[in-house]
Amino acid sequence: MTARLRVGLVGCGRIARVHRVYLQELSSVELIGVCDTDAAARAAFARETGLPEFASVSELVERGKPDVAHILTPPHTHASLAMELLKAGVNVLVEKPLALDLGEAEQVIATARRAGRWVTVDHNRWFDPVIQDAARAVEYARLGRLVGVEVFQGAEPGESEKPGDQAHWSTRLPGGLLANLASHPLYLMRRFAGPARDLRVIARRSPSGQLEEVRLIADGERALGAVTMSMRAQPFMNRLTLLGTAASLEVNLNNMTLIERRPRRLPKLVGKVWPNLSEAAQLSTSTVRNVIAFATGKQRFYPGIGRHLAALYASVSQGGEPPVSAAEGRDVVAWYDEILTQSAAAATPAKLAG
Amino acid sequence: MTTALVTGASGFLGPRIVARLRADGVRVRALVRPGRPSDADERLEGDLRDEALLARAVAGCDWVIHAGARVSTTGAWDEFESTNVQATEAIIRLAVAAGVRRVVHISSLSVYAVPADGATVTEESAYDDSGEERGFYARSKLAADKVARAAMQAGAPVTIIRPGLLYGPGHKPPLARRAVGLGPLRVLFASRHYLLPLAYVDNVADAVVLAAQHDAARGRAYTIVDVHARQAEYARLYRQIGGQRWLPVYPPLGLLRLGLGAAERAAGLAGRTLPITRHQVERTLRSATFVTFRAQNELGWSPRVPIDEALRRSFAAPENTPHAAATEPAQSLA
Repeated sequence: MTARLRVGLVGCGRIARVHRVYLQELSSVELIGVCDTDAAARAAFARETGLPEFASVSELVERGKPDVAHILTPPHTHASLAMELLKAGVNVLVEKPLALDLGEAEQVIATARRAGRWVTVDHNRWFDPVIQDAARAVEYARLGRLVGVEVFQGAEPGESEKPGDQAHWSTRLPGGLLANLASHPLYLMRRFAGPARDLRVIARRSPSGQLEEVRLIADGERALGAVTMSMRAQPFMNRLTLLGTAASLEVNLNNMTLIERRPRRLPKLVGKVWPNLSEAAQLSTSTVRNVIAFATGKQRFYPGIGRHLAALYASVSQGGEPPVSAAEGRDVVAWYDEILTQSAAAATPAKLAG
Repeated sequence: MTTALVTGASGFLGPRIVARLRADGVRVRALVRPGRPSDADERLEGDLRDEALLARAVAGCDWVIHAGARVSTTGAWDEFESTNVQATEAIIRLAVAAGVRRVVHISSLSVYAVPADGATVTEESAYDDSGEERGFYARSKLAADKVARAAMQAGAPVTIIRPGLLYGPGHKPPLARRAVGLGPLRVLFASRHYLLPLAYVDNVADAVVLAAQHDAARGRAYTIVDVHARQAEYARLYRQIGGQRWLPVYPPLGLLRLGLGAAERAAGLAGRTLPITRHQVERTLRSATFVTFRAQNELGWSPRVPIDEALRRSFAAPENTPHAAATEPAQSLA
């Protein structure tokens, strides 16, 4: 058995609690403590979990001697914290996105290379069981040849409407709330469609300049990709559709269900009925399965984070590489840059009316 | 212009590497068994154990791709050792002396220990040193991997590629680790969830060439597995693409283990040994995930040929040898 890796958490928000729960289940990990500049948040987290607290990253490094740190703070702090930790010889997992822009992302990667340490990004949804099922369907060619990948990313109601200082920190990112959510559809598209050779964007902004509606199409190495991001459309949805020459798959990431649609030679009337019954049956089965899985504790919230961390530590505790490459993190940041650039002159409702 | 030597160029993987290199505009010198053809630009015939031949072969090359090995289930240990271990040591030593920029050594997934069912295995995981119970081929490939790794650690420009279960046109894919035909049935000695680490020959050839090209690959080992095919799902795909009609049967493995344990004890009491040990059986039943993150991240490798296409191409081609890789004609030649 290899020695346990000492892991520290940077940031004491909601997602840190999720990381803590999953990390405590890994035999290759020893959780050594948390740090946050907000003393009250830190103390509350430490009380709740019994973990030692550190007032700063430098204190975490000096006293905690971590092998790995999870950076679970708002995105505008990711790059500087990552570089500080890497320079101190600590490997780093960053919550998505890796950094705010491409320049920062490349600095982080260069710092990791110089320090001889790894940096990875929590592209957690790739590890969600439903997405892994979809990935297996592609891997085993159940869909035939993959020709299209479509991702829909919504936002929870109200997030974009809160005024000024009550608003979630993500509304103050470049482009607004969307900056914090865009990583998910972008890495999912990259994973399925491959790195993009060409990327086109149209968008609409709010009067205050926040990106509200984004449509992106990409020429991926393996398939064409399309991403719809809507901060206003309700209800809140997260979906992935894979279009193949033999069958198509629709994944509902919120409800953790998957529908496979396959062509069948049926008489016309039956052909109008059968597919609906098939979809209803698939939805019912997976819903019942999910309810049971939740009731028995087999399934929990943020399952992708749990599986990502398990895969990460299974590999790095044996000297292997992280499952999510820094290059993937960088590409996602570069694509978000591209969204901002191509939507710089995007219409706002006022402009449209004028 | 880059010049590359490919050993084992008349084997199974070798010719695909030759083709891939030539498509990239690399000038290829092939080391082949006497009388065997090659599509390379230049052809050398002979035995891997002939150091004078190796010295001539590596001279003037930028890359040496060492894909040659004795692949057989029969023969004496000396022959495996001289061809697979000593020749690997010699070719690396001679290549370094000749100023070759990169030696890519083709190793095998069998070098890794799989400590428990469901284990994750990385390039830095422990070697399988179980030794005596293993066949000569596996033992010699492990020893050769150690030779290559020692050279890497001493600073030689070596890269190790450890491919999964190799298949392709001429070598039909394995259906399971162990399968027995019984009339219309195929008894698969595996659980339905067993993961077969498959590697299609052209996907491995891609990785070999990427490893020769990338500076970052110097002194690194890479696991190459296209897909960890789940046994039951894979058997269905195999049957469908192969146009076959047999029915898969999964025997109760727990009972088999008990039975074999009892048989081993009985044989022990009678002062005999069984042709198959429980250790061997346990090893084949234990599945693992052989992660390929390093090849993906550092080489930009991903399997270009998907499994259905790979199976289709493999089934469409005439079979050179009846079974998987371990039945290549037993010749101790390049």
